[in-house]
Amino acid sequence: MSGKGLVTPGPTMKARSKVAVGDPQLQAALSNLDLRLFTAGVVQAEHPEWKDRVAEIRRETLADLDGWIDKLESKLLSLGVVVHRAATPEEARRYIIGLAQREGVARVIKSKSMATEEIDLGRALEAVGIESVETDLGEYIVQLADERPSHMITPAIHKTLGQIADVLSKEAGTDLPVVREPLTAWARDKLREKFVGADMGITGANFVAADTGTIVVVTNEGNGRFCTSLPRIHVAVVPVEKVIPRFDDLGVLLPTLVMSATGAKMSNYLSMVTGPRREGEIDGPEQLHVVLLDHNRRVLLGTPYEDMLGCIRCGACLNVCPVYRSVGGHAYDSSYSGPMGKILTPLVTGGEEGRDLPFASTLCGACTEACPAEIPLADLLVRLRADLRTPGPVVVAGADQPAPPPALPVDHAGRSPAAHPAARRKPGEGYATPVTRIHVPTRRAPWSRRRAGFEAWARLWSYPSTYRASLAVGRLGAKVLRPKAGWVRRAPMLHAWTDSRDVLVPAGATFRERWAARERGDERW
Amino acid sequence: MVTTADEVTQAFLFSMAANQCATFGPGDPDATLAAIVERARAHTADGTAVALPIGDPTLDDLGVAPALLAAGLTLLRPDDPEWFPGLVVAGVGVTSSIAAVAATGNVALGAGVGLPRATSLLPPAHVCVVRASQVYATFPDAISGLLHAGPLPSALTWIGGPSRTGDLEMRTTFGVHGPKVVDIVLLQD
Ligand code: SF4
Repeated sequence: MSGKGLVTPGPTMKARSKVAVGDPQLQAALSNLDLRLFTAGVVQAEHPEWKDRVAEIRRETLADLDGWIDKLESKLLSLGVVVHRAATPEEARRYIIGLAQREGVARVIKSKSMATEEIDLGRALEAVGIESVETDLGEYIVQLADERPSHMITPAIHKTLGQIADVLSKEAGTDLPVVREPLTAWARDKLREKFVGADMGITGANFVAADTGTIVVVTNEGNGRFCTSLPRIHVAVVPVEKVIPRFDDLGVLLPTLVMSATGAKMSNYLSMVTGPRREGEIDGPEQLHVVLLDHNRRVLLGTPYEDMLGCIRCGACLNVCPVYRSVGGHAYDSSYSGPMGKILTPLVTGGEEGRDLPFASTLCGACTEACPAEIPLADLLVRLRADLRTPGPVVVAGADQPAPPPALPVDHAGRSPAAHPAARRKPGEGYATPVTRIHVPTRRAPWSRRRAGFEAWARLWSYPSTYRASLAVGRLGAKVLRPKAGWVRRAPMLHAWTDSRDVLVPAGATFRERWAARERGDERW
Repeated sequence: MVTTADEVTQAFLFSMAANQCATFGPGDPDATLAAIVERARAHTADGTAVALPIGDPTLDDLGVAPALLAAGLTLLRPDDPEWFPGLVVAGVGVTSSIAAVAATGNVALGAGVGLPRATSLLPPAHVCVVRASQVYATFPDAISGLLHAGPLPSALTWIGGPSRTGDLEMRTTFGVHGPKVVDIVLLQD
């Protein structure tokens, strides 16, 4: 996550946002997000019961995440799947690259996956000379342009059709028409050549069911089917929170995910993979590997940030966010963008990246309202702002925590700990950091002018008399200051807050005053 | 709400049509077989082969293989050593489904011995035979039904219709990687 491949470069989100709002092509492309503005609202109006059920399933999972992971691992092992627990992106990359090299893999085909984006897998494969081809059309466009995806569902949303035609024409070596169908047809033929003869398919997973060991990959194009059916090796990179307790839970999770993401009742394809190819079958992967990625997630369990792990990556919060809709995904300069990205990025990078992201929010709460998993995104943003005032990781494992439990994780299969797969794991293969549940209180910010100011304001508005008086003074002040409109942008000390604002002319009387006058029988109101 | 079996069937055909599939039926076995042969012929008019699984109970009961041969069409079967290269240039893949959903409009295909995953993936057209008795009203019903019907296949593939993308300015465009045409033939059983 180095700022590579951004259409809106800059050192801070604020600087990148300035570039973004001044880029007419980007603004034209982003206007297409209007098509999804009401999608989340429609889902909730048509299926009000889904939200609670989804949140319930996610909370149940997170309440015993390690337990469900162990259950999933046992099931996967019994199906003949190779499971690798990776604590860090570096470990995940090392495992996958090692496997590819051992198996003599020349070409990898990838299906769109936020997890592989998070661990920057494509570039890592290319760096060791393994061809890695993105097969989702949007991801393919972004890869050809040497950019990073800017939206978790629609990776090339930052490009207009004209720009997309330019990118594809350059690759084709001929001018392709700026028409969707021929562009799609060209990409279909081009990627067909790549599908046939690829040795390894890499996917993420939208969900993985602990009881059946089923990996679920949602696509519309069919590229996910190629990646899970044709290559002799399939690797699924699965962040730990993607586990769900039961296959049956897919009944509500999948419709919710798909409808929140695109408005469609169901995605065009769902691939549900339960183990590698079986005896006598002539296609499907001979080897199936699941890489369970932690990357600072388990440490969030038991903290107020645990809720964030309930995210099902539907993208609804991006589509409704006034900030995302104005600046696009690249302004965040992180794998995950939009409201969920602002929270997840500083958390999973251990506070190393995206520290300014939570501050780029209007706190309007549109994301919280849209979220089908009931994640209190706006509250988490506020909390994160406070916690990020202290340098370093937001949540620290180990520090001020009781000693980790010595025993192995609970075995849902009811076996003795020694029979548990975790017992057979070599040291260092499992997760390095045992997690205990603790409550992390929001840190109280140190004294500052700003804090003193807000506290004084809070006191002033705690009593009706001083509240009314402050409004009267404010109205008077605004009337006096208004003629010099614009000065407020240059106000000393305050300009970070005021440089995009102006003093408005207040109404003659407040609603309360007008109401009181009306009650007195004053006809004018 | 859909309630009776007939309503479920009609809702299913409606949803599949909304997903841009051509739909045929519901019909008795003879009408179903005739529709399959007619669709297979249409998709292989350029002399390409029909890819057909081996040991699919629905297709075998209907007698699809002999009917296609009698119609003079070329068959490609999974036991052919040239199956994979043949599939790349085949005109159509014919399969049955193991479940389908009326409300959302999708069919579920199970992989297995003689039932390769790629039959419904590589050819440009896919003809899918659906038994009316296997159509569930809603997606959660189908998920529970499949779970209780026995062990899950190694690959369970759900298909809504022709391959599509929303990646170009968020407008739906058809025919990306999977089949460009999907025909649904409903068998009243
Ligand atoms: S935070 Fe909620 S709305 Fe945003 S992507 Fe995750 S599940 Fe969807």
